Formats: sequence, structure tokens, C-alpha cells
Amino acid sequence: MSKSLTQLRLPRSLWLALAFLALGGTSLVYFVDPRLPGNYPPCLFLYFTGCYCPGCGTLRALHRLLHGDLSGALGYNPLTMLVLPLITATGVAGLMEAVGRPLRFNFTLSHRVAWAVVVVIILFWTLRNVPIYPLTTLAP
Amino acid sequence: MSRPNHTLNLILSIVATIFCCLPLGIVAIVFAAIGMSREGSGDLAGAESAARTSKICYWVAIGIGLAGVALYVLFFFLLGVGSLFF
Repeated sequence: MSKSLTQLRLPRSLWLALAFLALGGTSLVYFVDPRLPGNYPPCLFLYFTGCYCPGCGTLRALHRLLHGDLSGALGYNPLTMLVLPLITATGVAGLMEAVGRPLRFNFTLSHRVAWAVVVVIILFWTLRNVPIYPLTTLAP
Repeated sequence: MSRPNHTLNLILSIVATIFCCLPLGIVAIVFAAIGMSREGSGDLAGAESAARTSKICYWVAIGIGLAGVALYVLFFFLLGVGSLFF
């Protein structure tokens, strides 16, 4: 019943804007090192609360991934590495649809996956803020 | 009649959560999940309203994220311009 990724239906201009943003962001993260302070704005949540958010370390993880260091990337943010294939697949499918050459694969997520995502993100968010040894590896 | 695309809502909510660092992203994910559950159980009107709430949450989160980056860049640009004169 629910729609698959082969019918994404966002306006074409929006897909092109997102692709442009992703390309610009990727090259920026490749060339400007997010591990050095001051290169990028701090995470708003971390800035105001002092706690890590589930997205903290994403830029550093992407930077390490782009430079071929997968274990470094996993160390900064394993959640990002987990959902990145999904996000990339969606982006590619949407862009191909926007330029009039839709991909021939069917892809629908069930509500079970959605609730699993909710649980995983909330657990990850909580656990990475616990300052006890095995859990500190989850912090960026 | 066009049905909401819950899969796309879920993925854009995840993007908002990971890149914009706001609790609003989690709210968007929860509403996307509620929309999927309602769609599965046949509550089409409920599914549509949950999808709408999810959509508002992730676009606001993405908007705040982009605005934050723009303000940060503007701040340092003005600082740079200012340092030329003072």
C-alpha cells in the first residue's frame, strides 16, 4: 500500500537542489578537515546542552570515509555509516527519476523498520552520552 | 488520489536527524513510523495526517540546519571583512 522509492514525487527542482547540496557538501568535507576546531559550526544540540546528539561526529565520519579510513569513520559515528547506504540509494533513485530515467528497483520500507530506526536512534543517543568505558567508544 | 510516500518521509527524517542535530528530527521519524503503521492497518486519513506532521518537522529541521550554517558563514565573513578595517 505505501509507496516505494520508485515513486518519489518530490519536485524535480528540489531533487536537483538536494543533489547540488550533497555534491558541494561532500567536496567541502573532503578538502576541509572537520577534525580541526573552527572549520565548521558546532552541533547546536551539543552547544546548548553539552550532550552528544545522534548526529554528532557525522562530518568527521564522512571525512574519514572519503579518505578511505572505514574504521575511523565507524569510530566517529557508526549510526551514520549504517544509514548512509540507504540515504545514498534514495538520493540516486530520486535524481534519476528527476532527470527522467527512473531506476528499475522496488524499495519499500515496512513500519517495522521504521520503529526499529526509532528504537536504535534513541538507544544510540542515550548510550553514547554515558561516560563508562565500553560506551565511550560510541561518543565521537 | 495520491497517497503519501512514507518511505521517503522516513529517509528524509533520518537525514534531518543525522545532519541537523535537532530533537525535531526524532519527532519526524516517530511520525513517519506512525504513518506507516496506520497505512498498514487501513487508517488512511490518520496515515495522511501523521505523514503531514512528519513532513513539517523534517523540513523545519532541515531549514534550521541550513539557516544555522548560513549564519555561521555570514558571521565569519563579516568578522573577516571587519578585520580589514579595524
